[in-house]
Order: sequence, then structure tokens, then C-alpha cells
Amino acid sequence: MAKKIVIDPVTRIEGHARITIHMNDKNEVDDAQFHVTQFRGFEKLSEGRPFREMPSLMARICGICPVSHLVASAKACDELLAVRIPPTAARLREVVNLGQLVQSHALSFFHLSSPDLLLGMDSDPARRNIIGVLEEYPDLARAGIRLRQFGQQIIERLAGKRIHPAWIVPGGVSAPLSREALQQIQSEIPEMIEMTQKVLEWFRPTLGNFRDEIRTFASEPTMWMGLVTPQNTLAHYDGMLKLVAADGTVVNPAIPPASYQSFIGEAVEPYSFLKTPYYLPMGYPEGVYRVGPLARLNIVDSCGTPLADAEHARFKELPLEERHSSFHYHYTRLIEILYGIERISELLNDPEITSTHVFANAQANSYEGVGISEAPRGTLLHHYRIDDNGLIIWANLIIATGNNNLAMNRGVTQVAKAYVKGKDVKEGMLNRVEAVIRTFDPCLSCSTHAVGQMPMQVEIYDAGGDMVRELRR
Amino acid sequence: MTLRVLIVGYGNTLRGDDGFGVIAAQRLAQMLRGVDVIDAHQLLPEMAHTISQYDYVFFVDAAAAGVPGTFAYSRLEPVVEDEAAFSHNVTPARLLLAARTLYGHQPEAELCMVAAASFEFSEELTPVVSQAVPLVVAYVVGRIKSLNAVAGK
Repeated sequence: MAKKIVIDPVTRIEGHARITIHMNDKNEVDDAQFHVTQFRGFEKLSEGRPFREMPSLMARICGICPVSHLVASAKACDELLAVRIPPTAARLREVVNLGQLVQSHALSFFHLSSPDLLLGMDSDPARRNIIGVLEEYPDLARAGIRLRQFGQQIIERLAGKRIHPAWIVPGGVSAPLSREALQQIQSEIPEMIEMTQKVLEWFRPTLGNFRDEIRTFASEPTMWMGLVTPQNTLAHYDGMLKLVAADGTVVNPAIPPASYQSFIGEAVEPYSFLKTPYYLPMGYPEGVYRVGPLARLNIVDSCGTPLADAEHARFKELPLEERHSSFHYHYTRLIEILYGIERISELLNDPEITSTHVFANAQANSYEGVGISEAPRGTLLHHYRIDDNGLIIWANLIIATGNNNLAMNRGVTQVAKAYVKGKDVKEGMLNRVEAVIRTFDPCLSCSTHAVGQMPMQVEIYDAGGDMVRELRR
Repeated sequence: MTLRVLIVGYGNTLRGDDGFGVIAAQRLAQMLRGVDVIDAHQLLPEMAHTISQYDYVFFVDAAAAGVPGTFAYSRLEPVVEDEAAFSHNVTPARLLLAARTLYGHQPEAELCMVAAASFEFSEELTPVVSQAVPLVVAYVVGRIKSLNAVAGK
């Protein structure tokens, strides 16, 4: 008799979601789906608002990555002003965007995924949490706390507060960087680099313990997308969109952000509130692509900073087939932390970094603006249209996590088929189905309100709709 | 000897009485010298490092249960209440555990809570919870004096 297994909610991700696994009469997995069960609707509620409010308003989309939305939104508003912001303002925006990257990646790797990586996918769920990590791997736990603190303090020192800062504004930033804040950040960089290198030295050899997960965790080849510099290095603040095919050939080397609608379509599925972007020329659902750290490191020639370049070269030594595994989001997240710290250091060493010329004053000069940046989880796009009074008449947001929606759905099906078998569904099997989602580090808070926390619940139904088994934790 | 004392008031000031901890902490920051005060939207993992550097920590928060406006305080112990992730769900007890485990020092701590009347959208406390702010402030100020008196003997 056919069955349906429901994992609700998926734990250790940002936001709420559930997974359903459909099984056939032979107790084999037929299909699986990733459902985002919340709705926020910022695209509609922004209509009628003055465009200058948009960065602050959009930052409220998420308490984890408000800076990412501030950056993309402010860039869209710069387009509405039709100004080129002062170079120091652009550098400071990049610094704070990278501070966000470091803290977010640290949160994902150390706080959300390390219990699986350190304690094991099949370990006792009562111990497989951050408390277990604190007790058994205190050095790594301290590194996670310190790296997150470093990123958060960069945001606080530049933007005034850690959550929902209003420092990034259309036309630049609202205040220059103080010399005191500059020196504080610079003084901490050597410690952060050393700490990240130690974590990489520890993590790299452990990959051998996860051969099965690397083989089965959303490892089916897809296209990659991300921003790159003209030198084909990492570009988190500004650049051109690059698309690379699953076999490594370049599909589009430099798509101007303003023409994204010629290349990206957006589909809607009845089972999820998360939109499903796809590569328009290939159609839906064939046009699946991935974004985020794994995509970024797969499409660039190098990172652009020396230590991260060396680590990126090691990553590129892996066979292309293996570099398609979403399990390597973890590895590439660590490499990007290293890059982020190095790049912050470079930007802060610019002699003009404390310049007070950080704002370009202008009125709206254009009816339409597109802002694009790389959020920790991938390419983030804000697109606004305004009327003669500067009021928003239309907004479109393509959130980083949404870009990965097709790949996440394929991933849960792949890993469910590999691990969920027979009548006796073990907790470790279901944890892997959740863990494949965690590799993407989806930020569902970007499209939902996350209030409260439910226990994990798994229900197994027969074809008649009767629950035949229930697991809770 | 003067104790190193930290006050951590936390909550969402856009959700009515949930902002109680922040408002009480800000009031205490205006009144007290030699005491560090943090007002925060929520507790964060990195606060484990911060609190490990103090002798005594007061956590000030709103309570979802209880008769609105009533004040209760309790000593805190470093325990694991459940197994949820250490990101959205940081609690004072978890921070104490992390401080002890990772940084080798767990401060004495207590939790001061006032039962909320409303968590609806508002930037102001309800009258009944607002009236509790001076009570909690007076309690914390008096408690710090007595703690320092004992420590100085």
C-alpha cells in the first residue's frame, strides 16, 4: 500500500518548511517535495511606499540577512536616482556585505550543520545539537562563536546596529567609517584568518567520512549562476551575472543585471509559497540552476585573495562530478569565510576608506531600477518601478534561496531514494533528508515570518489516508 | 571588592510588552555606574563569551504566561532545556552552559521577568507592564547593592 512520510518542520534551518516523501507499494520512494509553508508578500506591501523607504523596509524581510536586502535594495534605488555613488561608499557597502557573509556562513556551518558533521548523521538526536558540539568540540564551537561575532561587529561598527541597520541608503551610506572602528576591525583580522585556516585544516580531511553523502546529497549536475568580476573572480557586491552549464562550459559570461528577465523565469508550484526561478531559455523545469557559495566557487577562475585562492585551487582539484554535490556547500562556505576576511582587509587598507564623501544626493531620475548582489545564500535581486511621485508601483524580488528551489526539490528526492527504504524508517535516514536541505542553508525567513519553534514530526500515512506511524523529537 | 555585573535586557520593542526587557535595561543604564548593560533584540550565541567575563548577570525579559504585570525572579542554572538549534532559540541557561563549557567561567545569574499583557504590534508597553518597570529597576539596583556589600566583606 502506498505511503506518505511527512517531515514537519525541517529543523536547523532559518524559517519553517516541511518535506513530504511519497512511497509506493514496494516501500520505495516515488517522489519527495520541499514545502515552504509561510507567506510574507513584501512585493505587494511595498506598493505605494516612497522608494527611499525601500532599503529599510526590505531589511525587515529577514533578521538573519538584513544587510543583503539593504545592499540589493539600495543598489536598485541608486538606479532610480541614476547616480554613481562615491567609491568609498561602494567599498564600505562591500565591507558590510562581507561582514554579513562571514557571520551568516559561520552560523550555518558551526551552529546549524556542525552537529551532523561532527557528531554524525546517525548519532543520537538528543545529543546531535549545538550543546553536544559545545561539549565534545569546544575549540570549533569557540571558532564558530568568534567568527560570527566578528561579522556581526563589523555590521555594528559600520552600520550602527547588528540587526536592521539603516546605514545603507539610496546614494551611498549615511555616515563614514571612523578611524576607531577601522582600527578595531583591522586588529582582529589576523586572528580570524588563523582561526578559519585551522577549521579548514580540520574539515578537509573529514570529507572522506562523508563519501555516501557527497555522492547522494543533491549531486545531480545543474547549471551554476553568480556574480563575477571582469577578471572572473568572486564579486559579492557588484558584477555581471555568469551562467555555467553542468559540464563546465560557459553559457553566458556576463549578463547585465538589468536584463535578468530575458534569462530568468519564475514559476509557482501549488505546494509551496517559495517561487521557483529557472533558466528561461531552457524552460521549466529543465532550467534548473544553483546559486550560493558552491555555485560561486564553481564559476570563478579564482577567488581574488591569496589564501582563499590556494584553498579554491584545492577545491578545484576535486573531480567536476564531485563538485556538483551540494554537500560541498559546507566546504565552499568555509572558503568564502576566508575570502571574506581577506577581502575586508584589502578594502579597509584603501587610503580613502575613511573619506567623508560617502553620499550622492539626487532626486529620482529613472522610473525603473534593478539591484543585484550576492547574499550568503546566493544571487539576490531587487527590481522596482516608481511613478512620477517616487512611489513604488511594482516590485519583484528574486531571493537567493528561491534560486535553489528546483535543486532543493530534486535533492530531497535523490537523498530520500538513497536512504529511505523499507518499512522500518530510521531517524538517521530522515535526518539525511533534512540535512540535504541544510547544505543549501535556505533562509525561509526571507519569505516568511518565523515565530516560535515546533518539534520535528514525522507522520506516515497509508493510501487510505490513515496514519500508520508517527515519530516525534 | 566590587562585583563585575552585567545586565542583559532583551525583547522586540515592536511587539508591545515583549520590549519590556529592553526598556528596563535602558532605564538601568541611565541609573547605574560601574555596571555594564546590554539591550538586545534577542540573545545571541556570542553573548556566551561576553557573560563569561562577569561575576553576576541579570537577564531581564517579558514572560508569556502569568498575571500581566506581575514580577518574578529566579536563580539560573546552566541546563539544556531542549534540543533545538542554538540560533533562534538561545536561552539564558544555554548561554551559561556555553560560557562554562567554552570559556571556563559561568557567572552567577538570575532571570527577572514580568508577565506580559500583549505582544501585539506596538512600540509601547501596556500600562500594567509599564508600571512594573520601576519595580524591576528598584529590585535590580537593590540586589546589586546587597551583592556588592556581601562581596566587600
